[in-house]
Amino acid sequence: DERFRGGGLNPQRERELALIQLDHSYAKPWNWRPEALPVIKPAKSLFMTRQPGPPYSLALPVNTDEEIDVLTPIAPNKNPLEEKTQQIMTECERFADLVNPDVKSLAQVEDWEERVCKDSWTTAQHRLFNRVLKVFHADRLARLAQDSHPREPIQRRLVIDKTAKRVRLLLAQILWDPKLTHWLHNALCDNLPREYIAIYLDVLQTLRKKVPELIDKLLAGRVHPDQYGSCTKEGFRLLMKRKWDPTVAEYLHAPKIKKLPNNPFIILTPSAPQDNSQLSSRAQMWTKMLMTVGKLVTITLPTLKEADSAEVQKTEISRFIQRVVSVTITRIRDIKRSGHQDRPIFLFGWGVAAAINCQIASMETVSGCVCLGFPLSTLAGMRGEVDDPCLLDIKSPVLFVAGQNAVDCKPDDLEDVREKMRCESGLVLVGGADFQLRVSKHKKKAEAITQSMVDRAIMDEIREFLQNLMVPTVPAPTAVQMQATVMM
Amino acid sequence: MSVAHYNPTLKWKKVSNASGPSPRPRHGHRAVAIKDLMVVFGGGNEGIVDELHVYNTATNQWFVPPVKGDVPPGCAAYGFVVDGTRILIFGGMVEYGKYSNELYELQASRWEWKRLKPKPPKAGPPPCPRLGHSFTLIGNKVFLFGGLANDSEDPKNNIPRYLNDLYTLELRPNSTIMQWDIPSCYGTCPPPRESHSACAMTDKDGSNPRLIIFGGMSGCRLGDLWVLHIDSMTWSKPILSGPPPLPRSLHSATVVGQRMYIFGGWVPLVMDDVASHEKEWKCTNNLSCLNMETMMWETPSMEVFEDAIPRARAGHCSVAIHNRLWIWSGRDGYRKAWNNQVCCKDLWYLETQTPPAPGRVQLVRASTHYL
Repeated sequence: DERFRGGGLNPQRERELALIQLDHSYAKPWNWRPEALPVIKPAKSLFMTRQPGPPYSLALPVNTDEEIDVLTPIAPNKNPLEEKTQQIMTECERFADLVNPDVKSLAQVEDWEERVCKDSWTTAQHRLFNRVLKVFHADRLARLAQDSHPREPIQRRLVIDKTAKRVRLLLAQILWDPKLTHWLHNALCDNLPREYIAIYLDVLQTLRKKVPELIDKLLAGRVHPDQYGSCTKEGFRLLMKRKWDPTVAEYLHAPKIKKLPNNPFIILTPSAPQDNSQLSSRAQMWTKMLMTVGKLVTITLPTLKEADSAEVQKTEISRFIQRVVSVTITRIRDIKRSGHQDRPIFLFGWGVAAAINCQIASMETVSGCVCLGFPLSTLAGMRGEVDDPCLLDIKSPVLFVAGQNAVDCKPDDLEDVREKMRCESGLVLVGGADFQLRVSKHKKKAEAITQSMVDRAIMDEIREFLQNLMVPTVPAPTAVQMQATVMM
Repeated sequence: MSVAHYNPTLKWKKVSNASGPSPRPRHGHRAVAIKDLMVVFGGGNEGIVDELHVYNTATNQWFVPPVKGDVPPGCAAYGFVVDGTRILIFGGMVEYGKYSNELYELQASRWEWKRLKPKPPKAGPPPCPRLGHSFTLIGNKVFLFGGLANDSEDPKNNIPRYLNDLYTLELRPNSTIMQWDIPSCYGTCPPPRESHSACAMTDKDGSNPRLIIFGGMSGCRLGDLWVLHIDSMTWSKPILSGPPPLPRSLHSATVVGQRMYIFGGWVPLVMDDVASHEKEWKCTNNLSCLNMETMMWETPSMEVFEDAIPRARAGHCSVAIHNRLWIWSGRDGYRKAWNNQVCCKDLWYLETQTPPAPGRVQLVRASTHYL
């Protein structure tokens, strides 16, 4: 009977199936779970689709007969926040203008490249200078292309990051040779026009954040603006000290991350032996964000000795993990014992630490567990299988935050595991992100977002999840349900 | 119209204050009668019941017999027959919506379950897993007809197929060795259906055994009646007189004497275009009666009082014990606004024949005794 066998869904078949379901609703549904078990919260996704609002206003006239003006650009709606952001964005440009008004702008010296005196240059110097200049040209073109783009600051930031990366690569190719880099610095400072000086400053600022020692060394030889007095010298030092972030202004005005009620303890476990004095800027930002929602407790363990052989290191690793578990559990018990019963305890961890946290949560009761970039696939197979009962034993609610493109955690597999788990669980999927929740550059460009925006959005989701855990959200039975019960 | 003289006033009676553990309300369960006992098994309501409950009509008492042996998983919309004290169950839906084709035997004298593995028929495959089929004992053979199969292995995906195959299973006394058989039949076989009713019927003298198939579901509710004459294995579709009942499925059909009583089930709400696009259905508490001697639908006149008739329902069970037709539970439709469908938990019986007037002798004896 083709009507029933036809693979495609048609209304007739849908109706039949609904009817059969209605007539024969004796059994529990195939995906039934006892009601006492908590909910699997539906997965939330961040940045999975394009952000609303196209880069340029699509508010084209609806009337097609009307003549479309293609010459005058459509003025994008100016956001008051943007002026502040614009200011932050143009800081290096303004600095370049301010400290050295003598440096000519491009309009004044269109042929500056030809004027550069290259007489005494070596081949290596020639090559390096030309390559760097090529990178700067590309940056300049990108800046021009993005001029008055509604999200120009973000696009500018992405371009500068790219330029900085390319410059770093060039310098790495000459092994940061001090002589050559000093020479390059001087050559650039002496010859670049004002717009290019701004690009160079942006690059220096960005790289200073990533390789501070190398840049400090580079600048030590001759600090370019030193001829303009100590005031600018101080200004330059400050400028180099921080990297501008286009989202700063947005965060200044956006609602701050609020503290969670009862000032919960947030225990941050390490995924590897690490030196906390050398946190990446991203880790610092996360620490700051976590500190705003609750009392942050960081578990630290001494680093491994580098001299140890691989075999020793291997045993050290397993010992390290055991120590993380035992130290954390001791810490949790200490907190519980110290009369903070009303303050929830949340475990927080990245990658391997997320897995360690699940282990801890299956041994010791905590109020919740946040797993960022959970490594679901391991060398020994998938976590959450029958022979790995750790995940299934957890009774505390768990929030997974996973990257859409994470190699060690496929969203579908995670959903399967979540179905098997006996605890309440949530999932936040970050579009285009890898296993460490870092969003790819293409994604950033397409969506006009930065990593700090993504991290902030993740933090907001985490906060919401944790807050919901603290406020019981079980709805009281409605009048209709109660009526139904009475009728039974 | 000379036969229209039969027009008794029938009376439903609700049985209250039954003692013993009363079973959970449900639908899709089945019942058989052993002497005064009504044996109820299976069914469910968002969770299938696997307990066996027995109601003693003589003492108005529910009890749960202690069962042993290969206790089957609970099932709903399955086949349930009794031969003396030997009960057979076949197929139906088991928990989480899977369809079954397993056969179990319950020896009611010892309350002992046993799983049976009948041999496949010589001429074809054994019956596929199904629900809503009929399973009827006629003579020493059980007749399995129709039902609903699922052509998909995946529980998330249902590919329904309505069946009209006929199998028989011969019961030999004191033997559990059985074999399915696909009998060859003559005449036109009824079209595929499920949740129909099937009754065994003979003439008053016990001759001319027949299997009566009525109604069911095949995408729309059916109201046709088919007869399989067992002696000749011939299907026929007799012409019936009198006002026919509405097409329906998940009703009950019970034979008492020479009459088949059809009660409840889902009926179409709108009768204009039944076949094309039925959209709404409702449960009914309508009682119809087919006189098998005259092949005429009779409308029994009911004593209608408030609460004197069982609520509309479907998927209930019914058995005939002496001249009484017993029904228990079933569900009364579906209310979308509510989370759960509501099942009735009431037990009723219908007095199909006016009890004989108390005899004078009895009175005299009573008074004599009293004196």
